[in-house]
Amino acid sequence: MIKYLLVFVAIIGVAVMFYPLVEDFGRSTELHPLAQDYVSGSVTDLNMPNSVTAVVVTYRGLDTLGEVTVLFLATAGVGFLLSRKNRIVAVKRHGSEFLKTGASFLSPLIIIFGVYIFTHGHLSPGGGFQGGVVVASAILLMVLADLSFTFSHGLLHFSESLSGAVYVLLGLLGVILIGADSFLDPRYLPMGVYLSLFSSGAVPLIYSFIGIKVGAELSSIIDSLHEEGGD
Amino acid sequence: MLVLIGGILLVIIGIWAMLARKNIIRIVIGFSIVDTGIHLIIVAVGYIQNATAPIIDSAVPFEKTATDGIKLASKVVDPVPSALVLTAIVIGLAVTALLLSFTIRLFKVNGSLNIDDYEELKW
Amino acid sequence: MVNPLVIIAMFLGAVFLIALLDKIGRSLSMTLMFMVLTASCIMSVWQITQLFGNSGAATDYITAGFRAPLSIVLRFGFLEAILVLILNLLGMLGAIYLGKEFCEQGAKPIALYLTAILGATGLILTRDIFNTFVFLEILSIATYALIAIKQDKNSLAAGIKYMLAGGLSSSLFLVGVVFAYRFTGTLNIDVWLGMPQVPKAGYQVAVFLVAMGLFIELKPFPANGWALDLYQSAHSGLGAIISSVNTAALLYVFYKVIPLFSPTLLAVITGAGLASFILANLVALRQQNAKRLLGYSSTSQTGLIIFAMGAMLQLKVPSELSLMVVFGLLITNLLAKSGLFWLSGIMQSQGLKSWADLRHSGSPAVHFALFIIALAALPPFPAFFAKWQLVQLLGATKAWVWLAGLLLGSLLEIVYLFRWLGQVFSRENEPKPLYIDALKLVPLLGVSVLLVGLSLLLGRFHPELDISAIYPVLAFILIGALDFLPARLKGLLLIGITGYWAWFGLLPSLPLMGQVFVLILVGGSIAQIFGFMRYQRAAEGMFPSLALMVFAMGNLVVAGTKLEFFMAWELMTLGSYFLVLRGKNGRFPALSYMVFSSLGAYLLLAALAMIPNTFKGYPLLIQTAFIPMGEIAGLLALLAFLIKLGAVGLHYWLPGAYSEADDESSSILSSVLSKAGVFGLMLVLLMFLGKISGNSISMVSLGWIGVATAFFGALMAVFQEDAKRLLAYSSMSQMGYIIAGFSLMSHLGWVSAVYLAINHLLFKALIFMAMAGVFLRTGTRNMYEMGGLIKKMPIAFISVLMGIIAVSGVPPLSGFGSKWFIYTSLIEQGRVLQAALAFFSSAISFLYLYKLIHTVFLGQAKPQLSNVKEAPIWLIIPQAIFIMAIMAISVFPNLITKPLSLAVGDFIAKPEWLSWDGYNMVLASPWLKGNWNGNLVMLVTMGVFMTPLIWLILVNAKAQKVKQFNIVYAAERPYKPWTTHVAYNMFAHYDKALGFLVKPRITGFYNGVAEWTHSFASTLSRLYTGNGQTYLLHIFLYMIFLYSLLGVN
Repeated sequence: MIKYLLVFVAIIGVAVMFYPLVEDFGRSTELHPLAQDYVSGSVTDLNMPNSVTAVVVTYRGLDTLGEVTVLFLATAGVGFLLSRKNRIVAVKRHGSEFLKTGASFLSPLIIIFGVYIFTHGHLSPGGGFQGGVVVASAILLMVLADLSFTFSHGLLHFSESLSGAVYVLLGLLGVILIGADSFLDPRYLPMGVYLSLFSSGAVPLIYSFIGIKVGAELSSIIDSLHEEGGD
Repeated sequence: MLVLIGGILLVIIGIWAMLARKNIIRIVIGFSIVDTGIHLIIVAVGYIQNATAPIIDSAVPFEKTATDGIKLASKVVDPVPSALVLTAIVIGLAVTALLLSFTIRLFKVNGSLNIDDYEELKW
Repeated sequence: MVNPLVIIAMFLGAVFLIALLDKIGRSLSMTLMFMVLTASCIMSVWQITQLFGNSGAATDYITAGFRAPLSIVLRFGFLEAILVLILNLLGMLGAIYLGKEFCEQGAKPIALYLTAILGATGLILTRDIFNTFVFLEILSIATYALIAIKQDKNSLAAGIKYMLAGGLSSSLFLVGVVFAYRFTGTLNIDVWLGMPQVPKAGYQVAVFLVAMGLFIELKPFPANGWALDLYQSAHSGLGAIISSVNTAALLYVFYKVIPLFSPTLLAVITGAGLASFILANLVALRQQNAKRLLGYSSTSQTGLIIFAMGAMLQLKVPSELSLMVVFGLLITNLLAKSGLFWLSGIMQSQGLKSWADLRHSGSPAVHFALFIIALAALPPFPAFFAKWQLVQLLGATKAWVWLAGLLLGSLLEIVYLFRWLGQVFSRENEPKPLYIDALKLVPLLGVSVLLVGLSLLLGRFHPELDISAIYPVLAFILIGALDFLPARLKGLLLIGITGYWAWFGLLPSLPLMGQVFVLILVGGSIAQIFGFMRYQRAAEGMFPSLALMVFAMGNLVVAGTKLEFFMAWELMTLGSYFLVLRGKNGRFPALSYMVFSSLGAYLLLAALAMIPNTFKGYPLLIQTAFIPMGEIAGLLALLAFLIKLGAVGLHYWLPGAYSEADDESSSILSSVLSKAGVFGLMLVLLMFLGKISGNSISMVSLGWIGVATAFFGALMAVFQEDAKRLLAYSSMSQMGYIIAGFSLMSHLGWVSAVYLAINHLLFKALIFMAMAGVFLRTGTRNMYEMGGLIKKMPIAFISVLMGIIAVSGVPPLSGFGSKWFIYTSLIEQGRVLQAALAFFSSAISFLYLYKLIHTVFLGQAKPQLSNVKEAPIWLIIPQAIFIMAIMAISVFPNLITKPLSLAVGDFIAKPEWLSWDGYNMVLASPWLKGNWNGNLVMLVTMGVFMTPLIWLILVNAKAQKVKQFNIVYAAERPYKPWTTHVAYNMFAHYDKALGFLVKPRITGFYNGVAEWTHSFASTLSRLYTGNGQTYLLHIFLYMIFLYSLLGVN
């Protein structure tokens, strides 16, 4: 009883604490100067229409590198926790014919869609993360449809490791080709024509590798959870 | 504004789930709800009235100004929170995934998901 | 200059590639890990050296080729480079410790571990608040995953609790960051720092959330249950990393953002830090599980560091100074805490008692002692200097409440740390053999070397310290390194170096009074070191502690700055603590000695913080006239020294400490060490010379304390069965006379006090050394088990006889002079009542002295003691020295009274009415007249003594010798035979008359305080129910509580 009372107090307290945030929120009608700089900078400096991508991949690229690392950590952590040698082999149940056919028809399309999303991240909404998730969702679909589906672990790990390393390398190329201040600067490749696929320097390249990395990581997590939770 | 309040409500609901539910899975779900609420809050923070997505393509014409900047024909929302929320989502996902794996292991080792069954360490 | 991005890229590249490399071979991935860690260490060192040459160089590094607020900025300045270096070094040592687990469990933990270090490094480097969040999550998630190195029920459950709490606090942080962006429009910390406070409640909440997110991650009391459970159950290697690397990185982030806090928030956080420090230490008192105890200690230390940061920011302390303090506290905690966690992994069980297994383990035991002493902020470790500086700052700004809280928390910390140390080193617990993996010793050695190295560097280059300040430590290390040598060799070496140092280093630089005290403290010790040489073998641990103590006592006299004095004081305490602990039943007495000494030390510390700094290179003795000491400071310092002297009411520790050490140590402690308190007392009174007269209320009260101590000490000595306890109380009683003498604030009073001090040294050491031989030969300390030893140990008898005559103040020996002095000076000042009580106490002391000599040496010899022989020569040498000294000053009292009068005359002018006429000392005060001719007295007494002696010898020639058992027992055998011994309950009749005065009220009081504190701690610890949800609730309630203190509207 006393515990519920305390929980109640805690929740009311949190609500009270958040109240000034709502009260002082107001409505913004203008961008912060910094945001303004990002929006115009993405066009003038990077020749990139999608300013969110400009922020994610270039201006705050270090965050994104960290983010990829976090994802890697999650994969490694889940794998480390669940991949014990003496795991119980799950009793496998096959999906229905209907599901299997549907899944095998849809999966390639979904993967292609995912690839499209991460290669066009600098032009339209989306990017490496979104694309990667879409790719992984295709894998998930296959897993759900046909439980006997197995991964090529080698390929998965290889693409995981390599895409991460290439991402770091692409960042370092900035330092090598442009200057010490230019880690993750994509401007060592030509800027290209505005609104075309091969524009904005190395951004599409970087985002593609992020896409591959994210897709591989998420698939790997699905793999780990799937094999563990098989019973 | 509405999104912000919705986000805060979600956070509070999530906190309630974390504090009052006994099943570890539900507590983890509570945590996810808190996370989602926070993501909504972040998005709400970046919103500008009557503005569109910050993608400067044919939908948002612009002209270059003398000071090496650009002048947009219509308002766009702040791209920074959108970028931040991406990171936040990924991190939330990572934590949730790990929490769930821990729960699975714990269930395998001990066969219970009730958080009250794990009070051996205390004082 | 190094671009820190290279470090980050290197780490990440390695992390991503390790999974691939590991397929080729485990050793390859391990090598890569160590290479990366080494490389980042090298880069940090390189950066540090570069910045040394060019301190103005730009240290901010932008990314992506864009200017500051647009892109994320990293800073790799001096501070950052040092921290990165330390974290990576710790990371490397931690990796060595975890080597076995890595080898067995594969690439994933290696990659996770490396990423955790990367996260910490990133947290140090980044100047962007959101980037901080990202690195924070990298660090946290890597830590979460590493918990799985050990997958048992408790570890996994603790992992879930830990993740939920950690996830929650980082969510709070994130919300705070986003709203802060909303209000300020920036994510760059430096830009944010440059902005004024936004006058909106929402902004305050945002900053509060940022602060809370970090603060909760730092595990403040009471919102830290989740962390405690993890520390207790997780792999020790991981505990070490969490408590050191994670904490350090988070604290640095906290340091970066703390200037953003509004004054109220700063006050709230500072207070919360202090509360966390005190309460976590309090709860730790009851903890029996070593790893959980370390968890509490971690919380308290973090609280202390946060408190220090906040307090110094509020007091507007220059940032270099506050950095020094924070850094000193942090580095000590990092190294010592990780070392202790690593040690806990070596132990088979985590019960504190079972840690006694460490005792015979060789180097781990030394590491352990080192870590504990470092954590307790004792010299020479960095935390000592940091705490010193912090207290000075708090004192200078008159922040008394904070100062009191800080000292209270520190005292609690001392209790549990030294209780633990006692469990390991006392001879009460029997150790079991311990299997130790040699590889796990490498990191321990690493942190120890770092700690000691840093300490010596700090001691050497500290602006307030002379090089001599670290001599005690060097002597300790030197003798400690030679500890395997036989005792005699070490004793000779020690006598050699202390003698050399005292003669050439100390004496020339001191005024006469200083020389007198060097003679007492160092000379008195040297004479007794001979006694320590009786041991056949190495007597491990004894000589290093002795060296530490003796050198520290010497330093006490020459100390010029306040810090030198305090450092010497603490080192002296430490050395003597080890001597007490070494005794057979020394565990509890040593602990209470340490706790009371620390209480005294903290009072002294507070007092020193209230006076301005003193000058280096001039002994405090000649500076006292220029030191303006306030009354409160004086009172505190006085109290501190009264504790050391064992004044009545503050003597709880005294009987145990003086009686339970090894016999020679007891001798040196009660005869020499107590004089350090006398020296301190004199210094304090010197500062009040001319301001407070001997007739003032305060000095008269001090006089009463003195005579009361003399009276009660003597009375308690009377009722002891144990000879050592008797002598211990006798020492207490003698200190009482000395206090009374000083309280007179007059020439004659002071001369008599110092004279008493010297005299006490001589006879107490003499009796103790003689009794040491008796205890050694008889194997007991109970007087009723001895008797008739006069024939077996005649030299001991003569020594004790001489000593007793010297104590009791009968002519002809020196004691008469000292007592005569004290009575005359008391009466001369008109304190007749005090003189009467002092006189009465002397009468009581006859009783116990009679008991001592009668029951031990006279009477019938016990059959079981029939093959007792004289003590070894090593115990007789000091006796001979002291007998000669006593004889000398008894026959020629001018040898001592004249120099003492000169020495005191430097401070209080000699009155006209005191003069010498040949061997005759003449008093012609308006109130009192008298004279004393020691030489004549001696001659007369000798004559009086010799005549009957010769007559007796002549008469005795005809006496009939009777065999001891030439009697027949009548009736039955007594049930408890020893109760029939004359010495047993010898003064029962006095007990009936005066016994009510010595009921253990004081002891009862302190025991009550201890019990009450412990049960309070026990109640508090019930907060930690072990339920993960309750822990979350704690976090919320704690946060709401702090929020309500903040008063946002």
